[in-house]
Amino acid sequence: MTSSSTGKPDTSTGKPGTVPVQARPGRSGLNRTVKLVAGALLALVIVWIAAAGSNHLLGLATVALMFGAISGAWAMAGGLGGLFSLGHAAFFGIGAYTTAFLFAGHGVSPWLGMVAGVVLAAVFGACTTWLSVRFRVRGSYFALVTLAWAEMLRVIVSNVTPLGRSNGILVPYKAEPTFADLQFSDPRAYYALAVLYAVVVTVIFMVVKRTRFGWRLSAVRGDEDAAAASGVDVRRVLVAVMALSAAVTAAGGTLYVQYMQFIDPELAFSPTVSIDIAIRAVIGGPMVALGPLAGSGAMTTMTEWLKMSVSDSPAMNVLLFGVAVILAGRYFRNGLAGIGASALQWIGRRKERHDGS
Amino acid sequence: MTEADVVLRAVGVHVAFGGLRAVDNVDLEVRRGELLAIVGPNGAGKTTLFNVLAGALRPTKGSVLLDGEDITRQPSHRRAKAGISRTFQHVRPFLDETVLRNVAVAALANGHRRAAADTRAAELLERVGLGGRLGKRAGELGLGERKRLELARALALEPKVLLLDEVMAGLNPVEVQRIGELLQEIRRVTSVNIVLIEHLLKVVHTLADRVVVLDAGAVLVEGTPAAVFRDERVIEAYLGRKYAAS
Ligand SMILES: Nc1ncnc2c1ncn2[C@@H]1O[C@H](COP(=O)(O)OP(=O)(O)OP(=O)(O)O)[C@@H](O)[C@H]1O
Ligand SMILES: [Mg+2]
Repeated sequence: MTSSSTGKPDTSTGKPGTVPVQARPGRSGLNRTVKLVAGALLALVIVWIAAAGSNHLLGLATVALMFGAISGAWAMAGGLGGLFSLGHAAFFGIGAYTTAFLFAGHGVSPWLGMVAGVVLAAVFGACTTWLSVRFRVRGSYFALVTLAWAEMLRVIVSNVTPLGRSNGILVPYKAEPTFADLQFSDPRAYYALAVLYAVVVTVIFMVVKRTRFGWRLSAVRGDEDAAAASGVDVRRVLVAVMALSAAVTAAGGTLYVQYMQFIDPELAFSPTVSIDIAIRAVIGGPMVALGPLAGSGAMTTMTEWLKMSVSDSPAMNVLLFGVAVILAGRYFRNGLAGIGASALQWIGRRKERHDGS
Repeated sequence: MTEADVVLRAVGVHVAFGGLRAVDNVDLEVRRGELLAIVGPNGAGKTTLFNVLAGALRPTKGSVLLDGEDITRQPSHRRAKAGISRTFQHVRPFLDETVLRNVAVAALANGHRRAAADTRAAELLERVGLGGRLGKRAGELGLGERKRLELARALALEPKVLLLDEVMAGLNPVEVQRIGELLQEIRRVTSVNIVLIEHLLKVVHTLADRVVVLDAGAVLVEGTPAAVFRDERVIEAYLGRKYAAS
């Protein structure tokens, strides 16, 4: 044990043993089942869309996946870290603009652009979060400060000529794109890329949640003073999780701009983008790996349905999602994922009662 | 008393909140192997002094030394790793986490990996009598259990000094008895030094080797429990009021 080497008194009496099975939380069979079923459903939908052959559907799904994954990146900070950001457009925009600027202006491969954007966004996320933590800005104030940072970037970019000012940057489409150009003639390639990105983000999320870093993160989310008293470097943990979240978000910005082949300050940095990113996770469940993707699917579906059946006005959309978020905040803290879990638990209990009698 | 016999020392500590002098030029030493009790009326500055020792609060003036090393500018988490651990007067478990995780996360500070931290946490929880509660959410525990949970969490850091801020307040006599026995057992099997803020004088009498009485931010008297509770200034400043009330 470490105690002898550090000279600390050994406070143990018992011999090391194994932890009883019941001690392992979140491993109940039911919970497992919920996750498996949700994952399988999601996979099924993804394959079905690819096979359905509608380009319109494919386009919607590509964007839904990209934004779902970006929302998953958001949830690392906003869910696991408890840092409710309303400024993730900053990281998204940094990724998109860095890539577009280097590719359109200097012919640099978007893959390299992605690396540059990821690094820039991570640094930006780390610095801004360091400041907020240093000055104890938290909760709603934290959200407002992140919003302000993104707005600041929007205003700056709108006034920088090499970045196209408010006109933005048009990404040139190569006649015969190679893989290095991160452009494809087949729309299914973008879709596959989006799926891959979503898988990577989901895996990162699960790793973050389960490692020691994740333990520390949830302690910090629970109570910063108690976490510090337990030996957790609160500032470091929060800065690190935001840097990671920003980096992963920026990678999504790269994919998005290569897919859309256009970016401007509104598309990249506007508060609408930040809200969109946060909302998908809030609706889907920000503490669960698949939550943001599920929320994204639900949100895109709803938006399309509203467009077709009710009205084309964006106001309707805003109104509806406002209501959804209020409901999620008040009754379903864990979003769709939480609803799914409670439903299955309810079924489980009923079944138990049924079997028992 | 040589310097090597002092584990933790506060020198000329002042804490001012605006115009209020919560801690006023306090010198304090925690000697190796002893159980030191800090008593004093409400608002005397006991918790504030703990916050200074644990790093949650920078003193306006003065310094804190751990094993002779000046740690005044060290943040809480560094001190927790260096050997000062504390419980909170108003308990602060991680409510949404399991009982096991509450303690295991503190065990990480010793460089344990997850499995080892879980094992260590389970041992400690067993010792504080929460062995049957490992998988429960901390939010589901009663006050007595939460206090013992915090005790286990503090022990998981394998501290040199354990700062306990009213671990018995609000508990029924049975639970008080239980924590008292627990502290005695901890002292028996480890060499941790305990500093105890406590209002229950009976507990102080039976557990403490030495008592420091704080009043209005300053040290009024210090000595053995027997001597301190016989001191007229103490009776007047603190006990008098209590005895009169009861
Ligand atoms: N963060 C703070 N800001 C302003 N004043 C404070 C703060 N913390 C404590 N005080 C004041 O400092 C004084 C000492 O408080 P402290 O909590 O240290 O007393 P205590 O001896 O622990 O009392 P109790 O027995 O009630 O726990 C009190 O007058 C209190 O109101
Ligand atoms: Mg107090």
